[in-house]
Order: sequence, then C-alpha cells, then structure tokens
Amino acid sequence: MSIVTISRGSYSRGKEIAEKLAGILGYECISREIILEASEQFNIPEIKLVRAIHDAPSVLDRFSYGKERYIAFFRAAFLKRLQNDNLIYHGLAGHAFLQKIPHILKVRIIANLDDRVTEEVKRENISAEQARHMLVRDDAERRKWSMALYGLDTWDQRFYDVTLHLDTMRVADAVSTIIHVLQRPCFQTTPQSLEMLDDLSLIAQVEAALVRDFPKAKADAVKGVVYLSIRGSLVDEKRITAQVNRLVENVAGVKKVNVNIVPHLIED
Amino acid sequence: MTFLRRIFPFLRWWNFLGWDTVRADLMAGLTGAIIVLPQGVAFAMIAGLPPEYGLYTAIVVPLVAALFGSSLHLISGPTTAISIVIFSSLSPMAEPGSAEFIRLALTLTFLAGIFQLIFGLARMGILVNFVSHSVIVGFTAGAAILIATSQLRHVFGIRMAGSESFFADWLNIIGAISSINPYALMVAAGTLCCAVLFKIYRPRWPGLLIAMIIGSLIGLFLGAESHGIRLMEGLPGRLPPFSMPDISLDTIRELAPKAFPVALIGLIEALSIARSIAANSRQLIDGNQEFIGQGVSNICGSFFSCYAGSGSFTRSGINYHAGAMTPLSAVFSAVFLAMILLLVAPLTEYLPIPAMGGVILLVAFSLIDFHHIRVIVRTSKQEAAILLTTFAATLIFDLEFAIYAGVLMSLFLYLSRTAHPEVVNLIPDPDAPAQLIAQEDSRCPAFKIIRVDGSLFFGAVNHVVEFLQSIDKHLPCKCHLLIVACGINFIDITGAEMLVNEARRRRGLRGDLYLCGLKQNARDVLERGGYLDNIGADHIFSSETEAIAQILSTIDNPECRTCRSPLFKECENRE
Repeated sequence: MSIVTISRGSYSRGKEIAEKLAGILGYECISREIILEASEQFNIPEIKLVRAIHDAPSVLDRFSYGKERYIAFFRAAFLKRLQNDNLIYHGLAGHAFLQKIPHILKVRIIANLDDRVTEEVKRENISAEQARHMLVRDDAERRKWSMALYGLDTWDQRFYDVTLHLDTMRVADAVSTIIHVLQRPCFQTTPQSLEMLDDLSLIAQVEAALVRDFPKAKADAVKGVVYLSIRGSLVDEKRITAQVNRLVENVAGVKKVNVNIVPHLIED
Repeated sequence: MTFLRRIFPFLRWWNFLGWDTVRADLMAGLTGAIIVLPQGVAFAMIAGLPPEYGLYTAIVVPLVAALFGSSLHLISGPTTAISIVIFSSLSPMAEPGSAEFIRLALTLTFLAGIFQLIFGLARMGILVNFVSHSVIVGFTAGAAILIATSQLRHVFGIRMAGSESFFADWLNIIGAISSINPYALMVAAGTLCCAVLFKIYRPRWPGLLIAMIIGSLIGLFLGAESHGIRLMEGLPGRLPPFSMPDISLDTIRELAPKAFPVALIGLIEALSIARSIAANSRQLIDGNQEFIGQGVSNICGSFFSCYAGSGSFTRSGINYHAGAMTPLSAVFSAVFLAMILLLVAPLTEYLPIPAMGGVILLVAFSLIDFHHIRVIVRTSKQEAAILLTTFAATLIFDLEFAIYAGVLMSLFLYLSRTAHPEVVNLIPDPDAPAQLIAQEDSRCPAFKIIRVDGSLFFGAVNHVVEFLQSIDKHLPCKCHLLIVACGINFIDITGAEMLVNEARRRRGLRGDLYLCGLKQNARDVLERGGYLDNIGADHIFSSETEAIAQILSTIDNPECRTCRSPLFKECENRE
C-alpha cells in the first residue's frame, strides 16, 4: 500500500525504472494518461495541458492565468487518480503537488548529460549537438516552471526523499533501492495519510471547479469542510459567495463551504 | 525589495494584480471618469480657475496620489473644500480666472505639496488625529453653504459683483431679486431636479453628467443666449500642458502662509476619507504614506497645470462601490478622463452656466453631513460647540482661520479633558465585599478610597490636588487615603512630587497615603526619582484587597472604636 512519484529529466531512464518497479510490485504505472484524463474530464485540448505543465509561465500568463487554469485541471485529475493508492507515477509536476503528503515516496532520478544525449540521439535520430541543446533547454524550462508556480527548484534535493544517480548504478540497482526504501514504515499508507491525500484531492477538485471564474481561489479542506479564500471586493461579497457556492456544490465530497473574501494584498 | 517598496509603494500591491482585478479596476475607473467630468469643471469654477484646470487636476493628481499613497481606494483630485479655500485665499490678490490668478494657484499648489511631503517624511501623520471629526463636519457644512451662496447668482441669472463676505453676498442677492432671469432659473431648476432624481433613483448612474446634458438641452430649447443665459467657454481638447510654478522667494514668502491651510485641509480630507473607506475594506492605512502621496501628487500637479487636490469622498466612495480593487482604478480613471477631454471638450460650449450652478447646488448639499451633525449634537455638548464654532467661523472669517479655530478648540477641549482626570470615590460592594464599587461617599469616618482615571502629569496635578484637599474640607477625619492607581497610565515628575507632598500632608493630619494597582511604568518613575522612599515602599500594594487589609490593621482612630456599622468586613473582626 504505497505511492511512488519519480521525477526525472528527459532521457534519464526514469520511465524504465518506473515500469520495472510497477512490474515487480504489481502496482499501476501512470504518466501521460493523467493528461488525457484531465483533458476529457474538463473538456480542454490535450496540447494546452501538455504545454501548461511543461513550459514556464510567460509575462502574459501572469495576467491571464491560462497556465494556472490548466495546471489546476491536471492537478485535480492527478490527485484523484492517486487516491486509488498502489501506483507509480513518473513524469512532470508530481512532486510539486505532493509535498504535504508524507507517505508518498518522492524519487528523483539523475543521469549523466552525456548518457542522456546518447540516448536522445539514438531515439530521435538527431545530432549530438542538437540533442544536448534540447536537453539543456528542457531542463531549464522545467526549473523555471517549478520556480514560477510553486517556488520549488526541481534540482533542489530537499524536495525528494531519495535521489538516485544513474551514473553510478544500473536501472536494476535503482529499482532495488527504491523497493528497499519503500519497505520502511514511513512510506506505508496509513488511514491518516490517506485522509490527508483525500483532503488534498478535494482541495484540487474544488480549485479546478472554481479556476475559470476565480483563478486565484485558494482552498483548504478538512473532512469535507472546504475553506475558500477568494480575492474580490467586499462590496461584492454576497454575489461572490453565492457564485462560489453554486460552482462548488456539485463537487463530490464537499459537505460545507466557508468563503472568505480577500480584498487586498499589501506586501511590506 | 523592502527599500524599493518604501520608495515606490505601488510595488506593495503589484503582485495582487491579475485580469480579474484589472477588469474590476477598469470598470470602476470608467465610472470615476464620468463622475469627475462635471465635478472637475464645477470645482474649477468654485476655485476661480478656468474649467479645464479642474479636469487637468482630475487627471494628474489622482494618478500620482494613487501610485504613491497608501489607500487602495482613495481617489484624489479637485475637491470643493480646497477649491473654496484657494478662491478665498487668492481672490484678494488677483482677479479670479486671470493669468496672475492661475500663476498664484499653481505656486500655492506646489507649496502645499511641499508642506504635505515634509509632513509625510517627518512622519507627522499622527497630527491629523488631533483634528476632530466635529471640525471636519462643521467646516464642510460651512463650506457647503458658502459654495451654494456663490452659485446663487448663476442659478438666478443675476449679474452682480462678487464680494468677500458671505453676508454681503446674501444682501446683494436679496437686493437683486427683482432682476432674476426666469430662463436661467428654469435651466438651473431643471438640471437640479434631474440630478436629484438620478441621485435618488439611479445612484450608480453618472447622474450629474446626464443632468448637465439635460440642462444643456433645456438651454438649447429655450434659446439660451437670446434670453441672456451665459454659456460656458469651450474646453481646449488637449492633455494637461506643462506649467511652471513661480518659485521666487517673494512669491513663496507671500503664499506660504496661505499654502499651509490648503495642505492641512488636503491632508485631513484625504486621510479621513481613506480611513472611512478602509473601515469597510478592512485595509490598514499608513497615514504618513498617504501624506507623501498627497504631497507628491500636488507637487507633480503644479508642473502640469493642476491646482491643489485632495481625496474626494464622492469619487472615492463610488470607486469603492463600483468594485475597485487596487489604485489602478484611479490610473484608469485618469486615462479615460484624458480620452474624454480630447474627444468631447468642444461640446462644453453648449453648457449653460446656470445648469452648472444647479449641479453645484446639489454637490454643496451633499457635503452637509446631516447624519453626523445630528449624532454630534445629540452626543456631546463640547463636540457640538466645536462643530458650531467651526461652522460659524467658516461663514464669517477666512476659511483657513475656521480650520485653525476648530483645531485649537479641539486641542483645548482635549487638553482640558486630560487635565481633569476623573476621580471616583470607591466603597466595598455590599453584595460582594471583596469588590469595590463607585459611590458618592462612604460612612467610614477614617479611611477613604479613590480611583484616579487619567494620567498624573503637570496639567492634571492641580485638579487632583483640589480634589484631595476637598476631602479634608468636608470630612476632616478621613486622613487615611488609598488611591487605586490602575487607571493612571503615566506619572511625570510633577505628578510624583504631588504624591509625595500629599503623603507628607496626610501624615501631618495623623493619616497616610497609600497606592495600589500601580502600573509598572508609573512605579518605575517613582522608583527612579526616589519618590517611592518618601511615600514609603510598604505603602504600595498590588491589589485593593491586600491594601485594605493592611491599612485597616494599622488604623487606630478613636471613632473606629465607637463605629456601630463598619463599612469594611475587616473592621468587623476588630476588638
């Protein structure tokens, strides 16, 4: 009863590790499927979702909240899927959404850039120089994305439970290490940690339901009671509260909604 | 970043911006631009300036004040109070509307801005707290009457020379009553009725603007010019032109005393409006930053053909209620107004001056805060006196004098209040003897307890001494006195010496002085100055119960022995 997220750069063999791990443990292995699910659930083009969780937000995104909107949809689909337990997720953004959940094993896979270049040249049939350029740009974009949206540096080891360097170990060694770590009690699902995951998933569902009308809405949830901070003028408090209640009432698992209007933010 | 945010306060709310706030601010800005259009023209007329100067002030001043001020919703720009102060200050020095008058108005604005900026940088925002609400209400009501009076000649279509006196103006109007122009009166009355109806039934619509359009149409229908109705001059369709205030030493010397009240009124107005709106929006207002914002806006404004501005209650209220979320709404309002000025300025030459007069009458009426006048009169005689004094001074004397008179009276009453701390007689509660309750006097022949509610400082000492000596006059045997000092927040050297003298005096009367519930800072003063040794460290108690028990155990008064109905439960156990 565990969940593993594997964060990796392109061509770092993270996918291979995830699939082998899932095969051994008998867990489900997921990655891009989440994008498809989110795309279907919220009726949005898949390509926009892919870009939203890959490219760093532009200056224009800051005002339009386009990126936040798609990420909210992706996050809702992702966390809903995680509630099934016993799964391995490899791909983008996973660790960023799960920092608060202790029992999920967050793994970072690092590979030598030369090895990654070789792998990309082999698979994409491009020159080594092109491959190197693409990988460096890709890594930089991922870091910018995470910094801009969550203030997390994907290269900062503090956000992972385990970091494995494939320069010094083979895929099988990495899989074996992860399985060993996963046996520790702290990475076993408990009723409390499952409850935390349920709350986090509910928060994501509520924020996804609101993001079109209130892109800056911030939710918190405890056992179905949702606390929402919505920015807006206090003059419109009644209208906003009614609109929020209408948007959230159909989200599964919501028992009660408390709306708090945030009229301003002044930073000193 | 914190340093940058201090210099450029708009960076504090910059991260709050998003498409939703921008959309809300755009809508509020558009509403504000439409509202300020007639007001700007009207207020410039009140100030004795060409109408376009009101609009220039409504473009530049709010933009700068919003970016450099503290309030998220305050809209600055031309206001009635400042307009009338400018008129009354400068009209004796130059012909209103003349180039000389404009030059003086720009310099006055620059100097007022400098004063405001200095107040802000010197962190004197707290000073405005000493101007009581009653002064503002009285001053505004007086200014409203003056404004309405100044417009009556336009409303009645009477041609008469202006005077410097409110009463002379009325005498002139009454004298010229036979020459009222009925057509001008019809235009003014029609405009006023429309404006009133919109204010009542469609308060969120730009009622003043629509009323002025209707007034213009009435004028056109009646054939305004052929019936002697004066029309406004067309506004120049251009952005605020660059201007240069006269910063020569002579002019500064001449205008500085007149700029000071403009600065003061501007700050009082802006801060009180900002605080009033913040009470609803839950924002904390930084008074000093607001001063800086007002100062910078007036300094910048004086270089762009603007006269002194301040916070406008009407426009700020409308801005907030239109859903504005950040000061960007003021920026948008300025941009929209500039666009309107460029596009529709020439149309103003169809506007009859009586129509403008009708609109100004409504604006003046709206300034009178009937609700607060009623509350003040009902609540406090002192506050009502301040209100009445300021109101009367506004009508009779120069406006700046009215403000000073109100402020001085407020300060006098405040000082008088602090110099007369309440001294309360206490006795044990018959239902709960451990508690003390306030009651006129006690039947105990030897021991008195009082509580002093206020600081013991040089100004209050006399009042307290008088009270303490009056005890001996009426009840000479009550020589033992306990002062419950929990209400004394501060003791200065004069207060401490008074306590020592009182202790000595009471000992000479075969009694003593005791203190209980003394606050730490007050105790520190007594300790540091050595006063505690003279009073006696064992005469200071932490609680009333402890003090009463200790004091009564030491009192050996012959009257206590024959006392049949002891007031204190401690006396019941005595032999």
